Amino acid sequence: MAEKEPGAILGTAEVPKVETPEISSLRQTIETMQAELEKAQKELALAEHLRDQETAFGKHDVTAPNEGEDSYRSYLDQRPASAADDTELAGQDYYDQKYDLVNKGEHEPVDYEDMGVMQLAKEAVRVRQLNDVAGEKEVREALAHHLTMDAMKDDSETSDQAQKRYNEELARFDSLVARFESRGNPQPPHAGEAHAKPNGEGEPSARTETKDQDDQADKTDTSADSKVVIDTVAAPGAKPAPGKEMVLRADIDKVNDKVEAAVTPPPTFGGYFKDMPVSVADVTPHPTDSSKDMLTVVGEDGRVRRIPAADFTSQPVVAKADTAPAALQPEKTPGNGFTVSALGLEGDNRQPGKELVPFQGEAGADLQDTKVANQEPQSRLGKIKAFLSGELSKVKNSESVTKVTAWLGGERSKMQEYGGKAYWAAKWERAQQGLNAGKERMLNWRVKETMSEDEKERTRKQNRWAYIGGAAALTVVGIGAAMGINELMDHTQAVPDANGAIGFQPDAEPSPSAAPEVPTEPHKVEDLPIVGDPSMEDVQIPDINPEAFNIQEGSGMGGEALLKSLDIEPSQWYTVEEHLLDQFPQNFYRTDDGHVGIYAGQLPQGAQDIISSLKR
Amino acid sequence: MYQREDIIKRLGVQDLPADEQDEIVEIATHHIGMAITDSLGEGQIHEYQAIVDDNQDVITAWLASNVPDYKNSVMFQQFEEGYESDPEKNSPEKLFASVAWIQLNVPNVEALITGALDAYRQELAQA
Repeated sequence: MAEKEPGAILGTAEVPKVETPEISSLRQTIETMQAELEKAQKELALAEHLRDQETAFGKHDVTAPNEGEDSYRSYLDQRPASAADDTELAGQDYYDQKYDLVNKGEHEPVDYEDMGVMQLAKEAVRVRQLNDVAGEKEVREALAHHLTMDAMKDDSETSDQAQKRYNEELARFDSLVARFESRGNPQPPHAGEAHAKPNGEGEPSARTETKDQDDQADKTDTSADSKVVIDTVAAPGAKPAPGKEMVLRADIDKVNDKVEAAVTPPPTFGGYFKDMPVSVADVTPHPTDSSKDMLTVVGEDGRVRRIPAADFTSQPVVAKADTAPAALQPEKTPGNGFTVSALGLEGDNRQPGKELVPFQGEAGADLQDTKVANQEPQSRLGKIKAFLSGELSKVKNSESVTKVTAWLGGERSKMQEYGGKAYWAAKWERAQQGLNAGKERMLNWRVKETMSEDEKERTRKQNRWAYIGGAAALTVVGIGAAMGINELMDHTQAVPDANGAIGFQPDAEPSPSAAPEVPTEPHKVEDLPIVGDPSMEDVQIPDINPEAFNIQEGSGMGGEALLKSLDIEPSQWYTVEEHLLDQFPQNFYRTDDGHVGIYAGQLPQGAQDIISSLKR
Repeated sequence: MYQREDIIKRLGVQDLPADEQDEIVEIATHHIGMAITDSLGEGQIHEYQAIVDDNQDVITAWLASNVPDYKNSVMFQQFEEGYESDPEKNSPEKLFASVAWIQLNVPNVEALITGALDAYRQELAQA
């Protein structure tokens, strides 16, 4: 029991307020309703903004007729078959229905019967622009019905007069349609539009009745400044706070329904625009090239964009729930951010300290339940985590590393096999089969497309023989040079047989075609060593007399001549020519004909060593 | 010794990229083979082509006639050792005979090589 103020005893204090349970309950109810009203107003503002965005990006634009589609059937034939099932929609309505974008509260089926002539004329222009033959037919039928009803009202007219007037009305209707077409911008169907009354010649019939279709939902004012929502059933007789006006809950429910309908999420036809998940809200087909269709998409940030169809990557819509493995569920920081370390990227030092923060849009935390609000931030984060976990597993998978190591080991062993003694044999084998990189190139050298197949095959065979023969010749010279002799023929002479082939006949008389005798000790074929054979390292070659490197004045000696004078194979000059020119320009020079000349005088020791190192 | 590097120096194409050098060496080898072929009689050409095409009858007969002790040759033994690792499984006799035939039937092989390379060098210089 509250103590009475001293003033109460004297009668000068204010009378304490006594709040009955009913009033207390009502106050709470009002406060709750006000909160809901504020929330609804925010949702409405967001929905209106989205609607304006969609309108700005052409969602409600009327599509132009497509070329090559001279009938509604041909129009539908070029669309997915699923959309042609018992529907007679076209243009915008078609795509709205296809992707379930139809808001029943806003896009109800058009009822031509309830329209007046003026409205029907606008409808006629609209369906004509959409190339909607069926729709145009309906409009005409509705017009005929109107005119027929009008004619039937005047019992004083004869049938001929009625028919005449009927035809006149049809002509006026056609002229009205033509006038709207020339204006170029017919109004979309609007259920609440009243019929216009005639104003003279050329106007619709004066007998056309007007209809008043007042839509209460459109006129509900949900401004929080002047209204408070109450439930007249729950609180009969309740009075609003001062300055407030009561609004029926039913009206607010209509608003909520409308807001909810307006913010109906786009269909689950998700995809990606670049790296952002988006949902397709509308498709504007290109008249001739479907790859140039334009898509109206809603991104996860709530923004509406118009993008080319080519930039849209179709993927299944990801469920809102975070599908990342439980092990990768990040721990939230106080700032509601997710640290890199929480994503399982410990040790990744490329971006230390980087944080991922959920999107904070205009809707804020108060509108988490709003369907048109941003997609749950964790959904995109979940995708990132799932991707990273897959990539991390690849890197950390020791099995893959083991496989790579094993592969490298195998390759290394293969290379080792070709080392050592088998190296030269393998090298020759590869030359035999043309296993080098230019096999195809060499086989088809000089092969022309104009050749017959036989000629091509013959040319390829010749190429193969020539290439292998050339490689064999180089091998022979290489081996012979390693031995330090020029001739490899045995002292037995070669005598051609009946077929022209040359074979060895022991002790045969030398023939003019036989090779000259080898000046040095003869070597048999089977004695030929492999190039690089260690046994060749023991071969001793006498040093060249330094006097031999004293070039005489006026001798005009070139490189080949010098080597020949030193009993060195002249062709080896070219293996050292460039080096000598670079290192000893005071002794060697390039002549006009491309050969190398040698100045008179004693060659330096370095040049002598280089020349002496050549095989003799 | 006509290693790849020697041929490249002889032709004066040291400054070209490696892949172009490879192609030039291949063409040079082909030129050498053509020069050798031009120096042979028709019978010799057929015989050598038969050896290259792995005609075992020709190979066996030629080796028996010309190098009966070829199996004692170090080179032949190297070819034998490389047989298992050869994916083409070229017979060592064929490989040995291909080289030995050139040695025995083209005595001026080195001069032919030199001439072919010089001619090709001229061709490259004019290109």
